[in-house]
Amino acid sequence: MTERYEQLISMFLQNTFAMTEQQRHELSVWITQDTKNTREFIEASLFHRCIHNVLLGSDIERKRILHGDANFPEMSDKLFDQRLWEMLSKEEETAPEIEIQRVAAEQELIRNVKHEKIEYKSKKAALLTIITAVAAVFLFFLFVKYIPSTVKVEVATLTCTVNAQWAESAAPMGAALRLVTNHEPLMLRKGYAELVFDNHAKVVLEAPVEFQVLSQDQIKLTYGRLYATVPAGAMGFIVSTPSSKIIDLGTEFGVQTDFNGTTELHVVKGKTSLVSGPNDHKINILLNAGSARKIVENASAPIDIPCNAYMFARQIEPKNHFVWRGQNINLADIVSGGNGFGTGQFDKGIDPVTGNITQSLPRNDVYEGPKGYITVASNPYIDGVFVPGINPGPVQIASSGVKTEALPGTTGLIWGYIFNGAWHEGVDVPRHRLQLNGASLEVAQSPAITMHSNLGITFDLSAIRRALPGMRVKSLTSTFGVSNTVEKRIESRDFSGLESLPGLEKLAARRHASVEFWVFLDGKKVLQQTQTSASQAGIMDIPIDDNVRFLTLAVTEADDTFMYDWAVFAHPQLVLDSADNAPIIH
Amino acid sequence: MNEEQNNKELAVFFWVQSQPTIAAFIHSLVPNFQDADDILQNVAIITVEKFNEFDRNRSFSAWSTGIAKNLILKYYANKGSKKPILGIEVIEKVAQVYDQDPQSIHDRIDSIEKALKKCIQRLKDKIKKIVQMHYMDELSPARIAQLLSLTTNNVSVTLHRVRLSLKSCVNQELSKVDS
Repeated sequence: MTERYEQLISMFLQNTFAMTEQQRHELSVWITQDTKNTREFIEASLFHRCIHNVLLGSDIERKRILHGDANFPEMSDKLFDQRLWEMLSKEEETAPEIEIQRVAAEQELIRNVKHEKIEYKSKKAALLTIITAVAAVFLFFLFVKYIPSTVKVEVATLTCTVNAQWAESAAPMGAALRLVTNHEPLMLRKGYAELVFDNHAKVVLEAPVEFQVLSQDQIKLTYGRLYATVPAGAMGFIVSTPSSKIIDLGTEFGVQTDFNGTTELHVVKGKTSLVSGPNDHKINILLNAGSARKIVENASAPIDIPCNAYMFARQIEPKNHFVWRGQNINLADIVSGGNGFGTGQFDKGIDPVTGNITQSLPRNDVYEGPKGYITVASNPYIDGVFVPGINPGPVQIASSGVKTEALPGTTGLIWGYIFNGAWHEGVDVPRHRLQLNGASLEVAQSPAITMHSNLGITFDLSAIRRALPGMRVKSLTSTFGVSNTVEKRIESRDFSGLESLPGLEKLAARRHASVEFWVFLDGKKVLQQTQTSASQAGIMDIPIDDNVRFLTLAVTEADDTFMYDWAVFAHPQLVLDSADNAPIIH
Repeated sequence: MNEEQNNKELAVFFWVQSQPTIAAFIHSLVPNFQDADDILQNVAIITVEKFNEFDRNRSFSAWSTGIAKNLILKYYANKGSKKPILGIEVIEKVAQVYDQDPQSIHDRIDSIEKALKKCIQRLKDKIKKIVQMHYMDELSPARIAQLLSLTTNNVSVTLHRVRLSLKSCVNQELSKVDS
């Protein structure tokens, strides 16, 4: 193909209606005169569409493509002519003009108004997904059209409620009540309710909310909030609101509708198809996990909004009135006496000698730790604390007597406490915030557990699970390392007089502090990693089986003494998931 | 289940089979992403509604391509241009190519998109910005130029060269996979 026809195709693709009559004629003749040309034209058009599709993938994928990702494999320079891009960049300034019809400014502006409808951007996904979505839309149309509207059929069960108060007009609503189609609208004035459809789609409703079960796989939300968890077998489940219909394609999503009919859809997992707009101009878009749209009644196009994954009650537990909105368990909060959801306090922690949660942290010296396993009675989620390697032989790391031989011998010297916060203070070191990757670990933004070397803590996951029925602990995630602030303190430190400390010569020579981080599940080592005050923070993402009871975190001195071992676990979280999503095969 | 219901379900079944080809056909002739999707949706609705008129001895794909052809012609006519942007002869020629070999043209789309992800990632930030504005936010070259204080010609030239360069990069990526 000559450059001339490539240019004409570019004009057609970029701004079809700005082409001159002559240009259109020239392109049309070229396309029709030879099948080879037709194919080239088709391929160019489809390639144009592919670029669009790629950029409209999931938010995560788009960020990766547009903003880079260190984990993305690099392409060889031979496979991609970097010079081409450099040339392109340079030539851009002085490039010869492509023939573009000079259209009047007013016309251009009118077209631009049309083209800026970026709210359609998630509409176009992979072809396979579009096929599924279109099929789902049609099945929906067929269903609504052919199922008689007066038949009452039992299709769902009210499985549980929390603090529920129903409207007076509504029938008494107790757990295990069967719900039929075409019932009068139900109003939940206060609290929460969970419905499970017979196809296993689960809906959690949050008051104030009015809804109707329309069919075996459809619920109408007049106003209020609901969260739908739809297993694969129930794909095609529909939530109708006054301004839209949301058709599940194997997913979890939240819907909020207000009295004006304005609806927000937040897709947390999987994909949904969203149908909205006035009757004469319905549009259907596909939304991926992490996407959200706002739909205003009778408006033509949904508005792109940030997805708020924590906005909706996803799981409710009547026994302890627990309502879960997707948040994870913050282990730093537990260390300070909390339940993992923010009831603990910063700058509180556990005294390694007594196992008590302390109200203040006055101690800032180095001292010898206790020789046995210390149980923690004041918080059921913490099994105990210990000083690894202070005794020869295997180390007990749980109250059940579980021991490990993996942990090395240590001096048994420790500093301070195991606490919720990220700071250090020594006899000759002023209190300051710890840093990882050069960033200060501020209290609000970066929950953290500070744990000097030669300390260990074991959490009781069974106790956590008992408090959160219906939930499962899916994994442990954290960033961890030795504070970068050590570097400055150690840079010009005079170590004379301390020569008798084993390993000091290494610390003095390296001028970095080294620490070993450990993680055990029921006594089995799942992580051992050396970190230094000069290295990038480590990242852990450790899956946890549903039958694991004890989670142990430990820090030990490396070969360079316990000095300056200002170790910290930042954002230590137990990632939660609904028990419904537990793996079937381990 | 009555006959009409059966027909509707059959229509959906046929549609699911043919939809990728019809989508590709529309995308070949309507470069505006939003407009192309609207046309695809309308074709879907018409094929289901008029399925009774479909001659079962014919190809469903050819029948729905015919509907798509009419909608594309109507689309260009509604845009108000005095002369058709692409004449009926171009649309017929493209349809003919799809009719001859309905799979070959678009069956590489998945692998092209996979390769494209790598290639787009290698673009310079400034170029990426222009690509994002045009292909994702669907802004015209003139509007992009206005927002980035460039000339419309600068943007058009850049987009033209980006397309050719990405094509070259993707071809190299695909040949690497093939080998």
